Amino acid sequence: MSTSVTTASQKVPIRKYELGRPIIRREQRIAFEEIHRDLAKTWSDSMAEYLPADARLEFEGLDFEVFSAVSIDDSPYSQIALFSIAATPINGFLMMSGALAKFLVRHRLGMTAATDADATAPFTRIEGAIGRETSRSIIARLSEAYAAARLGSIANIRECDDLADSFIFEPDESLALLKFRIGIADLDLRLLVALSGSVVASLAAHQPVAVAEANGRNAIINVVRRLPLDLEVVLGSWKASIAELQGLHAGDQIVLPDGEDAWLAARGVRVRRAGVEIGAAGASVEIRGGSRLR
Amino acid sequence: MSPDGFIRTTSVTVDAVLARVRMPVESVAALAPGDRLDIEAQGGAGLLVRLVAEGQTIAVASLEIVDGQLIATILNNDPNNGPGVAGRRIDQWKHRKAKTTA
Repeated sequence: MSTSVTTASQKVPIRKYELGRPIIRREQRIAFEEIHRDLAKTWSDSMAEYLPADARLEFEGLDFEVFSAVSIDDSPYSQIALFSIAATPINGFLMMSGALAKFLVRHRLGMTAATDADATAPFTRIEGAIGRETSRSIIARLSEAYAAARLGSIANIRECDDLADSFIFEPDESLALLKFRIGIADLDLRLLVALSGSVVASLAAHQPVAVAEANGRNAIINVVRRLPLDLEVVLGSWKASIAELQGLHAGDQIVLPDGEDAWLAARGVRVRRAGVEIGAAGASVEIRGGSRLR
Repeated sequence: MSPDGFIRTTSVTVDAVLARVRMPVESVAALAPGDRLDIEAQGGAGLLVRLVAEGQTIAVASLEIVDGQLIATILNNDPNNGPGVAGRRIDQWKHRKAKTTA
């Protein structure tokens, strides 16, 4: 067939196929990011009681990387928790940077000003417990968000000291990395949620609420709503021959319709009936009811 | 009839366009009976009316009320001379919602 001949003659660049690399559709990505953007707000609101007003967790974005390339915070203060999503092959972990863990613990204890000694002192037992409890409450809200988005429920949560020794992922396994940060200068206040790359397939299988509600049609309507429209206020119209129009000269006067039966038009289409009152400073157009639009 | 004669006797619809405003589609959709749009000429100039035939501005006129009648005085009827005819003027507007009573 001619089709196969044409195909064979086309020079298609050969690209390396990376086995296991996730493929994600744009709308899935948007929905996935939206879930985590909302989650950042929920986390921030839940910590608003003890955090400074300007310290809000912000969602930085979604990235993909193999496990061996993930930057692991080896600070003694960092909080790492492993989890899985029940009834799916998806595993994940949450990693709170040491600086963030310290920041949250200090603020929960009302210790806003850290001394030099505090900077290097290990967590006390109480501080360590508060750090773990903070990590657990963050995961609890993550679990609620995933359940609401029909991604599944988080299970098998366990704390971990050294992620490299957790054996949860193969070194070359692709992960979806969801990065969060509290934007305070000079402080590395990062939070990372990493999930098996197969979470993408899960998104396809469990169409999340965000996708269902923000389908393409709604997105288009939202864009159209904001489009600017040139609207004309038309006092009236009449028929005139070209000869009459040619006879018009500067200074000629025309009696116009009084504006009682005016209308608004967009690109020649009448969209609303109106009455127009003309004053010294401008005009006032009152929208009229009725559907008599020609 | 000669071609010129045919053209001269051809009739067109002329619209008297008082203002042109640019609004988001959702604002247009929200216009309800009783709502008012206050229109102010661009740059504080007086109100002008454009005579538009089949989408083309053929003349610009000033407006005044004389003995209760709305009188337009042609200022410019040369499409090649002056921005008043050829330009697309956008006026300022302010939307006032109709007051509702319980």
